[in-house]
Amino acid sequence: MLVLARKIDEKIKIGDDIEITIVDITGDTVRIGIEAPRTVRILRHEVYEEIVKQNMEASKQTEIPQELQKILSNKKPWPR
Amino acid sequence: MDTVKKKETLIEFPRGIPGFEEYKTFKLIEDEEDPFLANLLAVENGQAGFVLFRIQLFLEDYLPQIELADEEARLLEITQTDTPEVWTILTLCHSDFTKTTANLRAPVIINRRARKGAQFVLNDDSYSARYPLFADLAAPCNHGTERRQERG
Repeated sequence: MLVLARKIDEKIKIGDDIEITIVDITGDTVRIGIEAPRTVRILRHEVYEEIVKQNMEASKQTEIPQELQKILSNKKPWPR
Repeated sequence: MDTVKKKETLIEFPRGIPGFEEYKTFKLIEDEEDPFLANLLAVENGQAGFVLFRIQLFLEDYLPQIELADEEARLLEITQTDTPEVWTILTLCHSDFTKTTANLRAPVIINRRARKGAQFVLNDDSYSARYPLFADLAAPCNHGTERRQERG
């Protein structure tokens, strides 16, 4: 792993279009600013783990419950 | 009872689905009379199945948030004439289906023509992985595990 020492407001460039700025350091928390194209997926690592956990919880559905179908045919989600 | 026609399509998920990376082929089962819901079953494991919800028919402001990277579009073999479908995975609440939630943070994109699919995690923190399907009935499912606190 490449390890770089940086101070507040200093930046790191990754490739042509990604730039990382150390915005603030308070205690053991570092705030990091990231400029990257919108199509680059940037995630806190915990978010991916959260999706895995959510998928696990959602994963035992081997058929569509008729009751859910019935509810959706009567009541549309998100009436905005 | 069994008069409803089911349509089955095999969809390849080249990267699997987070948590289920070992399964690459899923069967998308649709009820021909129900355009909103589908069942996605892992071909290699009859126990791994998801209920998908065709979110693009409801949340119009959600779609522009989904922009695929070139590499992701390649993964799904999306060409200029393809219109990929946007689905979300539902977490069902079996004690009260009105408390079902949709995973807006990680939509499932399917390119039906090429029969490819993938689940992508969006960057935007404002989309929840447990978004109540019926906004006016947002109380959590009492069968679920504890609610995870949102990070600020």
